[in-house]
Amino acid sequence: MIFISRFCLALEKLVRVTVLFGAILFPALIAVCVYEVAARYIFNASQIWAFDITFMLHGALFMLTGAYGLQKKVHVRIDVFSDMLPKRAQNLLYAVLYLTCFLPAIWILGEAATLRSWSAYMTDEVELVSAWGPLIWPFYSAMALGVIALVLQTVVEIIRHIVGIFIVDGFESPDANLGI
Amino acid sequence: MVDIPALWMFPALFLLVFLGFPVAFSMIALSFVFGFWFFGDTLGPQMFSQLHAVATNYVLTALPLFVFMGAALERSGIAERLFIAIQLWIGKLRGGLALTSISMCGVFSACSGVVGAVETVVGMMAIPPMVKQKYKHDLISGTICAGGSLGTIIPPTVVVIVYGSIVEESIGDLFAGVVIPGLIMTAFFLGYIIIRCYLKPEDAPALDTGNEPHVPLSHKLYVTMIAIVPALVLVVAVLGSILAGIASPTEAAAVGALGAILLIFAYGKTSVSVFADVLTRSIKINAMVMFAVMGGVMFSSIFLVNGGNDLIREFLSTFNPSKTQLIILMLAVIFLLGFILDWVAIVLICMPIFTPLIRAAEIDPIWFGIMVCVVIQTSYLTPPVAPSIYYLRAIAPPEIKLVSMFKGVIPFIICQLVVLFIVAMYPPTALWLPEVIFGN
Repeated sequence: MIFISRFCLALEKLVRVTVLFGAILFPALIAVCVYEVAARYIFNASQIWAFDITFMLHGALFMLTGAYGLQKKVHVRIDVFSDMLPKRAQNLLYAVLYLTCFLPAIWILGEAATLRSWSAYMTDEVELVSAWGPLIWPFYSAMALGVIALVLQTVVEIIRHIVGIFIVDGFESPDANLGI
Repeated sequence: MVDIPALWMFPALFLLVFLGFPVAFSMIALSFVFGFWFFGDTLGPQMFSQLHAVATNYVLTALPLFVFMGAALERSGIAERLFIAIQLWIGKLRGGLALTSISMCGVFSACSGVVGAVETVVGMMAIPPMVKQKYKHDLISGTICAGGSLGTIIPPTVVVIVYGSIVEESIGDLFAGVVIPGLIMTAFFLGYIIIRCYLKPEDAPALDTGNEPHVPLSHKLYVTMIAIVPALVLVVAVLGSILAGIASPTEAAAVGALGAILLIFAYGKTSVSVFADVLTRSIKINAMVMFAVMGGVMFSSIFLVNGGNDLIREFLSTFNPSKTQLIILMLAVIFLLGFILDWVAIVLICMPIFTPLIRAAEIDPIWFGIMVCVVIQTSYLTPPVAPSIYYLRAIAPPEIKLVSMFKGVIPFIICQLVVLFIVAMYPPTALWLPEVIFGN
């Protein structure tokens, strides 16, 4: 049991590495947008890359922080009815739902994302939204990395719920909170 | 009937949601289950293209920035200053604390796009003094919940950003459109409190001012300047630059975020833990909303290809509703869903399905969007699943019972429905300002 618990905590640590990337991208996003406004109005030189960089930063940012969101239980759920079920039944229910519906969904998503970034890397694919045409694989890779982290965190959730079926108050995520 | 899988998607969604599975994940999971029906092995790339569409959406990049701006302002300590300043002016009126709370929520909503933040911040400051002055508990609860609901309608609101990204309408138009209904709403809330306190003074006993020294006007003005001017400058700069077409909502939000950081410096609250907290909270809220957006986009696209389109067409040709009937029907669906779902899920489930209907019936999407915002506001207040009450329970003392919370929100829900009626009857309340500003 201690082994399982340590395994989960180790996986969660790994997942938190991805959120660090996300946390770095956030100030970068602010900086890029402010810079573009300044460049346009003060220096009168709009940047060709600003638009692309902005949405790419945000896309990468939210994908990389998704697993962290699951870890911290920020996602809205309606617990008025499920709280009436006994704790063990809830754990059984969520273990089944995560395992049969959610894990396969993000698994195939992760597969598709990984394949897509690999082929973009191999073919030096460029993005076609603007005239700038940057290489697209770093952006795709960030998305793929985010989904993979989400898969890992989902595995942790499943293990926790399975343990919870057998041991009441098995082990909850260390600092689960409500979020907003 | 059985061979239209789309028909089963909504019952399945409600089942998962009621079982307590996260709403965003329920939508993603069901997109997989029902998508497999239609796409089989090509589902992976199909779902990835939906994800790609969300991740590359420029409009949605405004979201984390507005969230960051709100979170940073919250930690800058500006809220306490605003509260004290507003209280100096209207705190001594009958029901003064309640009036202060609503005004404060109105101002703070204009700084922050986050729906729950306004309520938590104002509630934590206003509830203890109101309890101490023996305000009726239902008045306290109603005031704080209703004040919090202003966060969903007063720009910059994340509801509008998500709505605009789905319906593909200009965020600037929508922001301009919600300004007047938002002000009417605030006025109605204040009006209700004033009338109630006039009719029943015992519901909100006035502050006993006998022993308190008189506050000189110069001090009042000074406190107000320090508290309100920076916030006002920020709000005017952010909303103004969007409305004037100088900057995109994303750029304006980024400038606002920078401004909020500067305010933290100016008010002397600078520390690593403050910035870490602001960043963590922004990341969490952004992840929450974005995953719901992703789930919603996947869910509705799978719904449409799985026969949802045919269902809608069949519905229209069978019942052939008039424009008014259609509007009432759609708003009623949103209102009823509001009892059980939160705003993100409602917008994301309904709008992809309603958008083609709106376009086909030639309903103005801006006008409709404003009405959706008002109705969404009621979802924030209507029990049993009311986010406002959820936040309130986290900050209210235990002596305020759930019953008085439920009772307290009802008059404010009625106010919201009256505003909805006004906007529905007189579309210029929503459309006049965007027309004046953007001239289309």
